[in-house]
Amino acid sequence: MSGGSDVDGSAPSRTDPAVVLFRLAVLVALVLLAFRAELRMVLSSARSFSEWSHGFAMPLVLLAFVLCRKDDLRAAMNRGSWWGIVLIAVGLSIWFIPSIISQFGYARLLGMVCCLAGVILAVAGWGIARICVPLILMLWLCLPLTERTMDSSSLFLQRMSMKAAAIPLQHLPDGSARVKGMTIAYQHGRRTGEIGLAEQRFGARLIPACLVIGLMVVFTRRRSAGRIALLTLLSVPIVLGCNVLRITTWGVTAIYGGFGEISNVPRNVSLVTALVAALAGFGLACLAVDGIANVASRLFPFEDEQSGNGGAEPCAVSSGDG
Amino acid sequence: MPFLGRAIKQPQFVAGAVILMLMVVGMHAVARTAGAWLEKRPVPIRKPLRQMDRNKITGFRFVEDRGFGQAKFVETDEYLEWRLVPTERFKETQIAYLGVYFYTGSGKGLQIPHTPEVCYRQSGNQVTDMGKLEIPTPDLAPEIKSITATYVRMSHPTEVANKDICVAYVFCVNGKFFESREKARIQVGLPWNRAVYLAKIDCTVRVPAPHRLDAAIGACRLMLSRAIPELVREHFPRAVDIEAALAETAAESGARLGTSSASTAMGEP
Repeated sequence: MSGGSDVDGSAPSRTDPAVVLFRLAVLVALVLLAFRAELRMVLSSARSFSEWSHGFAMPLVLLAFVLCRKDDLRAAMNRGSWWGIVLIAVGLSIWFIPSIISQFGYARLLGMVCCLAGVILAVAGWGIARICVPLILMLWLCLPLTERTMDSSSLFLQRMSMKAAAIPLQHLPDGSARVKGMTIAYQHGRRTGEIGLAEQRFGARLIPACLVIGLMVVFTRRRSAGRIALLTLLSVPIVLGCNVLRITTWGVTAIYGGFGEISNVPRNVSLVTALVAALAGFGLACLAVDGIANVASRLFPFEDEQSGNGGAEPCAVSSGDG
Repeated sequence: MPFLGRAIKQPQFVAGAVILMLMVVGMHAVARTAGAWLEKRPVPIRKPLRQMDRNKITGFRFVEDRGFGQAKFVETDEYLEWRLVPTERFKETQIAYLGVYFYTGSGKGLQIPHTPEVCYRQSGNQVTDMGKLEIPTPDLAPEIKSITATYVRMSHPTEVANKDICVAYVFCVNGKFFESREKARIQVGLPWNRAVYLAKIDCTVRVPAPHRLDAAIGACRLMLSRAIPELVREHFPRAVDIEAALAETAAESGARLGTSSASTAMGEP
């Protein structure tokens, strides 16, 4: 269900990148125009809730991704696929049905992302669509979930994170800390206070942002499926560790900085620390996995051949439907 | 060949552009039209909530009716907010609130009210626990043997009186009970449910001690198990009332259509 040569006569099917970019730009602009209400919703959430403010960074993230993978993208550029049109139709249905039955915001947002995926597939074909799967996942991670869903899905994680973060805080010199509901109560010298006071989902914030960072770091280079699977497994402790680090940093800043319970300083310091830690964590994980895989490929050359030299080096992608 | 000419050579691009342009122009209008066609008919309540028998909430003593002047905020005139005190079991919870809010009608569409985990947090509460609780309703058997409700435990950093509270809530749409707002929304939105009413029943109690959530949930269960049967039997519309409301609306629109045709025949605009 693919085809449609976009060059004259018997010319090779390799497409001019400028033409493909032009087509993508036109269709993406039309999708954003059609889903302008949904786009407004995403931007409004990004502005109002720090949990979703990584949405503002998405244009830069997308640009960086495209620049890092430009060789792969150029090599994979091919004829479009009619499955992309099917995906656009699916996205439309996802938008339309909840719109007439009830105003389900999240389903409508999913419709927008589905249409964007459809545009990539329709214009650039399977090869580029495969490379762009992380981009679609990143966009999905920018869609704000409802408060109810986030609360019910993160309560266990919040409790565990608070308990884990309280352990190092308990061992700070001249102080004590204990979990109190969804905050951590501390005593330092004669000063007492609470960490995370009135902060919603204090124990599980920034998880989508850390995952976006992880996707960005892992997929900026071409990696084999085995390495991606391993990095996916490693992403769980990295993201959870960054979350605990954020709470601990908040605590340390609040306790030693002497900031008030509702000061923004511990929040901002812990936020930057957690995001930088996520970047470093995923970077180190990639280095480690790539290093181990390279050593393994030297020790077992047969495996290397079998895996099609599926290392981390940029190389031409032969996939596509042409 | 000019750049634009080459760009539109791809059939998928052309098809995608046509579909998306149609979406840009018409998708909101089509959704609005379909939404208007599926607009819900109102089903009036059988007996006003203000006439609810306080003595039916056994195990609790009525203290105060707080349901005045809130219509603007709760977006309905048909509601009640009572303050009660447990008299038999769960006395340690000290105080309890019962809220019932009834919605129906057309106009701008039937909106589903917010749930406590959303609106309480706007005053600084943090959600500390969430779950489901089963409310036995032997009085409504065999139609409804039990109802599942949602409970939310919330703590407030500064408020002294209600620092640690538990709110249990359940939605009722055309006689069916739902513990989640999303399920209630789907039920309200189903195209074949042409006449719809929606009610939110919630109960708020104080958690007496950090490890006594069970007492708070028990009090919520007791209060809802007393209130819901009374509401279903005496106040909420029955299936026949929904059918009657639907028939009445159909007759009204038929009559309107007849009048309109007659007016047009007589040359009136």
